[in-house]
Amino acid sequence: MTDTILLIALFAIAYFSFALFALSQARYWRQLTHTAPLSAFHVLLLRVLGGAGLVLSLVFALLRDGPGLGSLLWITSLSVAAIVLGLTLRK
Amino acid sequence: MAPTFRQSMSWLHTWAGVVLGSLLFVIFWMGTLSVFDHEIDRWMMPGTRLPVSQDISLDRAVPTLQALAPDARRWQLMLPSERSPVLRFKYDENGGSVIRDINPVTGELIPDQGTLGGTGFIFPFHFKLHLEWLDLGYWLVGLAGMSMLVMLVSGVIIHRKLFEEFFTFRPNKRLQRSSLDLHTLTGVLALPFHFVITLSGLIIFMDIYFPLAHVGAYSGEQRAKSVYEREAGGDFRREKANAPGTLTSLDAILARSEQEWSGRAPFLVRIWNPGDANSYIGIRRSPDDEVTLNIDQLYFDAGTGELLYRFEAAPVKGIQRFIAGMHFIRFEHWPLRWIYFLAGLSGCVMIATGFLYWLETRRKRHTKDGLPGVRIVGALTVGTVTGIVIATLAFFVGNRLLPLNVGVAGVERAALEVWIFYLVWLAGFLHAFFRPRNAWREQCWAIAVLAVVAVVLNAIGTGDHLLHTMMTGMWSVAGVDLVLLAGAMTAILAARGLKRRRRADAGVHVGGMEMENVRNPRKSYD
Repeated sequence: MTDTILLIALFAIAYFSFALFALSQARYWRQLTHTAPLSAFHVLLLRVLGGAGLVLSLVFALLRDGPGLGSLLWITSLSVAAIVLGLTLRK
Repeated sequence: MAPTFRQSMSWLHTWAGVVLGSLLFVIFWMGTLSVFDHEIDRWMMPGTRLPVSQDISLDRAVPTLQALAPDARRWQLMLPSERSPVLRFKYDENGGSVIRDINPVTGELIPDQGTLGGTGFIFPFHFKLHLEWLDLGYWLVGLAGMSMLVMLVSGVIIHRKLFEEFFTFRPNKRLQRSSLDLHTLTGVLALPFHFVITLSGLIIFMDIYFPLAHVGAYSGEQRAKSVYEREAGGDFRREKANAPGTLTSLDAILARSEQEWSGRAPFLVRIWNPGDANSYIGIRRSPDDEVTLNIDQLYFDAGTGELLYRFEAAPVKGIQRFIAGMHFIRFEHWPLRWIYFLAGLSGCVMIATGFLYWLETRRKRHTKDGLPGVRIVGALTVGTVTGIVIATLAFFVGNRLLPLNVGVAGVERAALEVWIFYLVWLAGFLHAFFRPRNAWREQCWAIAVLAVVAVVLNAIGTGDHLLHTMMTGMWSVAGVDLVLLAGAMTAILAARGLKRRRRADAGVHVGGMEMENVRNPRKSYD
C-alpha cells in the first residue's frame, strides 16, 4: 500500500514539477493563464520550485526502492512524466 | 563537407537515420516486446499456464531429465518464478540445444508447445536478428547501436530550441511539423533511457565487439580467453572421470545454496556430466531483488554435495553486471517493467517519426524531379513500422490457429510460426510499395483486425478468456490480451485519423484555400 502511494506521489510530483518548468516559459504561461508575462523573479521562483519537486520525487523513489532500483525508477519515470505533460500541453 | 558543424551533424543524423532507421526500429520493437517475453510465452504456450506453487521439487523431476537426456554433457534447469511458473530444462542434443518445460510440482514433462514464443523468437531477434552466420546479427545490432549513440548526440546538437520546445507537440499542424515535434519530444524527453539502453546493450556484448580484448589483458594468446572467463565470469571446470557416479538431492543443494547466500534465492541449476563420478553442480543466484545481474555462483560435487568453489564478481565486472542488469531488467519490479515497455515504445515512435519527417520534407521535390527516393523510403518505412507489427500479430494468430503437433513437409510447428512471421512481413513491404497512397491506413486496419482475432482465438482455443484470466489472477495472459486490445484501439484511431486528414485535404482542394505545399505532402501518402 505504501509502495503504491509512493509510486503515485512520485509520478504526480514529477508531472507537476515539469508543469512548473513549462509555466516558467512565456509561451505556456500565456497559453494556460491568458495573463501578462511573468517577472524575472517569478520565472526563477517557478523553476526553483520545479527543481525542488524533482528532488522530492527522487526522495520518494529512494524511499520506495533503495538506491539501485530507486534511482532507476526515478530517472525513467521523469521521462514518462515529461512525455505525458507534453501530450497534455499539445495544441 | 557541410559549411558549419551543425550542418554537418544534421547531414550525419539524417543519413544515418535513413540508412539504419529500419534496422533500429526492428531492434527497438523486438526489445520492447522482450520486456514481457515470459508473459508472451504464457500466452503462446497454454500448457505452461500453471499456478505458482511453493511446493516444488527438483528431485521429483530427475527421472524425467534422465529419460530425456541421459547422455547430455550438461543439464540446465531454470527454476520457476512468478513470471515463469515452469521448470525450464535445457540440454544439448546433436550440436544444438533443446528446451523443454517441466511441471515443477509433479516433475512431469509438459507436452511440447510447438513454439519458440517470446523467449525463443522475439528476445533473440532483439540482439542477433536470427542471423547466425559469422555472428552477422550481433554485428549488425552493434553497428545499429553505435549509430544510435551517434544519432542521439548529433540530434541534441542540431536541435535549435532544445529547452524552448522541451514539451512542444502540435498534432494539428501539418504532418512535417507535427512529426518533427513528436520526434524531438520522444527523443529529448526519453533521452536518458535511449542513451543508457543503447550503451548498455553494446556493453553487454563487449566480448563480441572487442573479441581480442582479453588477449591484451592476459598475455599468452592460447589460454587468454579461458583465463579471462574463469577470473571474470567464475567458470569452474572438472574433467570427466569416465566412471559411474551418483546424484545427490538437488533440493538439498538448493537449500544449502540459499543458506550460503544468507537467504537469497538461487534461480539456475547446471549439472555437468550427469551420471559421471566427477559430475558437478553449479548454482547461480537469482537477480530478482536488485539492478545488478549478478553472476554469483556456487559449485558442488554432484555425488557428495560437497562445496567445491564459490565465486563472486570482482568490482570492475560488478559494474559491467550492473550496466547489464539495467538493460536486462531481470529484477521483479512491475512499475519499472511497464516504464521500460512505454519507454521502448517511445523509441519506436521516435524512429518512425524521424522517417516521416524525412519523407515530408522531400516529397514535393522528389515528385517534381521524378526521384524515386520518397517512394522507396516510404515503402521501407511502412513495411518496417506497421509491417513488423502485423507480422508479430500474424505470429500470434498463427500460434493459436496451428494444431499442436502439425508439421508441413518436414517443417516443424515452431518453424512454421516463424515462416508465417517472415512471409507476412514480406507481404507488408510489398503492399506498402504497390499501394503507397493507402498503405498506412490499410495496414492500421490489418493491425486492428489481427489483434482482435488473436484475443478471440486465445479465448476460444484455451478457454482462458479475459473475464476468466482477470478473475483468477492469470495476469500474464490477461496482460497480453489487454495490450493487444489497446493496440487494436490505437490502430483504429490512427486509421480513422488518416482518413479524416485525407478528407480535410480533399475539402481544401475543392475550396482551393490552402497552399500547394501543405496539401500535397499528405495526398500521396496516408
